[in-house]
Amino acid sequence: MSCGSSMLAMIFSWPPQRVQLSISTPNNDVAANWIRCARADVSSHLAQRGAGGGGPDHGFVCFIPQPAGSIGAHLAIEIGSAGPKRVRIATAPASEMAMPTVRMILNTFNSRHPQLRQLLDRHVGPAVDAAWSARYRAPVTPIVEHFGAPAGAPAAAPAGAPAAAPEVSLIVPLFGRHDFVEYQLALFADDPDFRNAELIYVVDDPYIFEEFRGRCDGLYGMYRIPFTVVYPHSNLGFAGANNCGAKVARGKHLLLMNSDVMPKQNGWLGAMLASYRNTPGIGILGVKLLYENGSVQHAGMEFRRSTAWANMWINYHPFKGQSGLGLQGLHAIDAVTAACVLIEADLYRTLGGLSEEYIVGDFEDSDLCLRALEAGRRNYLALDIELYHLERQSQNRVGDGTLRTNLSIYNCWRHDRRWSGFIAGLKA
Amino acid sequence: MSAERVMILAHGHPDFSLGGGEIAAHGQWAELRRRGIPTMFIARVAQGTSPAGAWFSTRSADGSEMLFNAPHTNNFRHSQPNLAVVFTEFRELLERFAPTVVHFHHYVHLGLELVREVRKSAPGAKIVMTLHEYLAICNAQGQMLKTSGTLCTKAAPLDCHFCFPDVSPQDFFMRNLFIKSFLNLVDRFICPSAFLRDRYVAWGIPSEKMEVLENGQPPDAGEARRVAPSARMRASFVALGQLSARKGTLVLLEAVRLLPKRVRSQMQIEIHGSAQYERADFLADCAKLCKGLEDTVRMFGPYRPGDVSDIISRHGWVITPSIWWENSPLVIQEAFACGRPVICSNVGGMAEKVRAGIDGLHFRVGSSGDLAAVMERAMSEPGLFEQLCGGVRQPPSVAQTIDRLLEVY
Repeated sequence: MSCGSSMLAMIFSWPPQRVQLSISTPNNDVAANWIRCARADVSSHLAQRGAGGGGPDHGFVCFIPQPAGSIGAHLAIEIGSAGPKRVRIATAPASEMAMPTVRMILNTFNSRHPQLRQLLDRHVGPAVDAAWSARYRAPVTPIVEHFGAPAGAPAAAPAGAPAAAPEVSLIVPLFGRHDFVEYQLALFADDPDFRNAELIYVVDDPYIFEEFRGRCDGLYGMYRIPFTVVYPHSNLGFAGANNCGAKVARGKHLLLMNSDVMPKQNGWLGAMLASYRNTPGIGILGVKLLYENGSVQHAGMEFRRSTAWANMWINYHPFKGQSGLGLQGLHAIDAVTAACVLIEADLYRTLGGLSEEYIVGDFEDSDLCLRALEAGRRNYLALDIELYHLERQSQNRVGDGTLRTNLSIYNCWRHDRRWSGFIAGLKA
Repeated sequence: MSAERVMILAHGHPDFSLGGGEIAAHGQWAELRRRGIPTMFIARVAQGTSPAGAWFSTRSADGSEMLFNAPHTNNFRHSQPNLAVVFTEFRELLERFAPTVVHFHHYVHLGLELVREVRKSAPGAKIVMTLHEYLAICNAQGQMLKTSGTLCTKAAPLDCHFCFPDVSPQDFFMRNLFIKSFLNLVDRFICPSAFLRDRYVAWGIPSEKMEVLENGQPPDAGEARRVAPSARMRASFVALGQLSARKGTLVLLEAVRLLPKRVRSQMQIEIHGSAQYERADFLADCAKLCKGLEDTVRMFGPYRPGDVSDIISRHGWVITPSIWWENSPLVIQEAFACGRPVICSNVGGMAEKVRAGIDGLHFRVGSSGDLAAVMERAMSEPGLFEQLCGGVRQPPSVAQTIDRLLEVY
């Protein structure tokens, strides 16, 4: 299959143990570092015909890097078991719809593969990278609409006069459900901290934009909390949506907030800002997040090696599901979840925002935290500030369990490739 | 005090729906007007009945009685989806009437957003809210009766999800946060029973905002037909009100079946009320249980409010066998107004209003066996009927309630 200008070859053979495979392209590059893998579809087909046996490893996976512009090339595959045989395969032009390709690639491997790391390093990883970087990106002229006077704008300002920068801009991406906005506004409405805050909703879902927009006049009229709606015309994913909102934001600080995060009580925003201002050298500030039953959803993230996932670093959530009553104070920490974080706007921009190279939304929060650490800042966790996180909104965005797992593994691999050494240094 | 201007909002108008809450709200409006206090009554009516598409329309020429042709609310979080009606037409009404007190007799069918609009557009007005059942706490029609049929003592997202598997715990949690964000704006809550007050305090409303106060009995058109209890009535029982499983109709019928024939032959039971909103299987259950009891139990169907005293006066005992907590059932006050003792389930507002051994008897909620035993005792224990009749106190009138409400205002 085509991934950008490159290709991922998935071949099966029978009987498996007698095949010698080499692949050459029109440029005569020979790709011989293929990896064998199980093919359940082939095995079951053979078993039905009474031709099973010899093990399940009928498959071969091979990533074939190709320079840009070589779309439409032919592949020659040499199968050496019974003398050389050339098979020519026409390759289709790469699709700008990257997600279906990514899905297909991710469906080709099993996370229990004994050579998971090599499979990711040599084949699956580069193939997804290539497919994802070829994706269509909408022209960046999002629709921006203000409902109510923007925060910090003097009531009688002459037209066109720049409004004073608000202390903080909240950026809340919306995907799937937009009724969360109504709940949030009902809980923001009586909080005096919102008087000097800019609230930005980034509609990251073309399917809900018109319906949500139809509600906005009413929502402002009812709750009288001014807000800005940003619509980038396409689904950018969590990182892209936040970055899109950050371009519009005028605040000195940015508060990245998920739409399913709900305040527990008034004053949380001011408390976060005070904590941030009073902590020299701070990069990113996270808070304690609770499930609807009051147990801990997030009290910081900890890098741990996953033996199940080829010893890569994963983001472990300590205390998850446990009582958080004893967790208090402000603590330096390596990483926090982006479901509710505060960061200086200039720092966010200097760091380049959230990385859009992770797919759908995973690991970009720890990636940002690590970049803040790399830049010499320290990240903190304010355990005395509590909000609810009804973690569910992003569920089922991609598909079923296998695909979700494999997508997480890909993002994990990407994160590990970039940060493995750095994290080991933090642990040392 | 004479400077007060009161706006009363209700979820229905008694001319169209005869619920206890509607009657109480309208009665309080009439009493305030009688005292010369400028008072506006706004009652929600079902959509599509107002002239020329106006959301609010007058019911009386002077505009003191209004109908709110409210768009249908979201019955999960009791939200008014047409927000523009709230911050345009309702706001205009608030600004023109300039109330010093806004008394919500409910928010169901109206929308909680109206409370916020009062707070914003009439910031000086005191917001008072009468709580009629446990609707803010419980999605099962506010009755805290689990869909499995067992009594519920505390709402929690996971527990509520088990009652309504299609609704996630997270959505129940957000419902809770959302509703509280509006109830937080209310200055005083009127609780017709201490039991209801305690439930709401346990749920999170500060106890200092709570006032226990009966809605008050409106003047009774049939008062003249009241007959004092007499000894020959002690084997005569009556149940009034809506017929439904929740109201305990089946518990009562089962109890009668459990009594020995010899006891049954000496007693008389009347059941008055309509089952118009009930499902066919409930009616079938009723018919099955009534079979063979024709000489003891008689079903009378719907009645007019003016006939209540007349109906009760022909009997000795009033039975309220509800299998949910109730708050302050109107029928208990009506029984006391007629001087009759009450046999009720031993939970919630019923057990609070009826004092066991003083002005009535309790039986274990949902237990037809216990109800049968209590009924047998009621008709046979010498002196008991007379003793309990002597313990009955008159319920407060609307006028007495208004005296106390004006202190709250």
